[in-house]
Amino acid sequence: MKKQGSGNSHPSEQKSLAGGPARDQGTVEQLLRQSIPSIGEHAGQSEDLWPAMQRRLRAEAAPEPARVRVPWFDWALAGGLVLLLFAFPAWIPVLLYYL
Amino acid sequence: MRDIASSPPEPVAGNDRDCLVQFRQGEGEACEAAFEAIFRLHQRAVRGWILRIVRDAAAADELTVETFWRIYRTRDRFEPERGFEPWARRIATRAALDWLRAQKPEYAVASEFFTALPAGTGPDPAISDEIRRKTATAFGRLRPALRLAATLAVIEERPHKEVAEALGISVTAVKLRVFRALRLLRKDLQLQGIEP
Repeated sequence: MKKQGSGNSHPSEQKSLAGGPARDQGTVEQLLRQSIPSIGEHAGQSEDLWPAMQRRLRAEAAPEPARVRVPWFDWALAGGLVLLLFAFPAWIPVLLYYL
Repeated sequence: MRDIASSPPEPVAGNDRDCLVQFRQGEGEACEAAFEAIFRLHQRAVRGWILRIVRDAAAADELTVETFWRIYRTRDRFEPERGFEPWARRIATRAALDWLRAQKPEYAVASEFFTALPAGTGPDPAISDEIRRKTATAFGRLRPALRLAATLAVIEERPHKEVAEALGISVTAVKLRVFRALRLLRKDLQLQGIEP
């Protein structure tokens, strides 16, 4: 492992591990294993997750409250109309007449 | 997958295979009872598998529940003769990949996984902490799909066949992903002035 431009690295890090692509890959693999260790044997015992699972099942089974979904262009249209009426208030009676 | 968590099997109502068939075909309470038995039997193994990928205990708990929810929802597609564990592992891997994709690009390995290492498997003193940290950070910058393949195949040293089944791709594709991940990692480290 060689760290360029670093004066405080370990002597063995200065050693260049020259070799073919397979050896290079092996070196990166080794470095990766050293940097991020396996947790296979250290997974630990978690608490029983069944209560959380039950909560999830209940939440999914419960009927969702009815929600009216308004598309964005409806909001844009309503906004445009409000702006128009604000700019030309004389049109309000005309609009009401045609409604 | 049970060996991952290395925990003794928990009591399960009736035969495992019967339970799986009941889970797939049963309705109402029978199905839910079978699901509970399956959950209790496999939860640790599924969590262990997810933890290997996400390396975050809280996220692993959450994703275990999410995985079993997906299993429950798609139970009609389950084929009991092909075994529960490969199917669960595949769904868990997909859920974990979704989680990885939703995370920030910078990947931080929880310090607890460094300190929890027993003597003898600790880091090589020849590699400084700075290099290890930079390698972990560079690894976190990889695309989640490449990172996942490299995590399972290189860091966790799982057989390529098992990784391929979990990812739903061929063994060749796994090898290719691992190769690309290591090549990109090498390039990233070189840009940081580290010559592996």
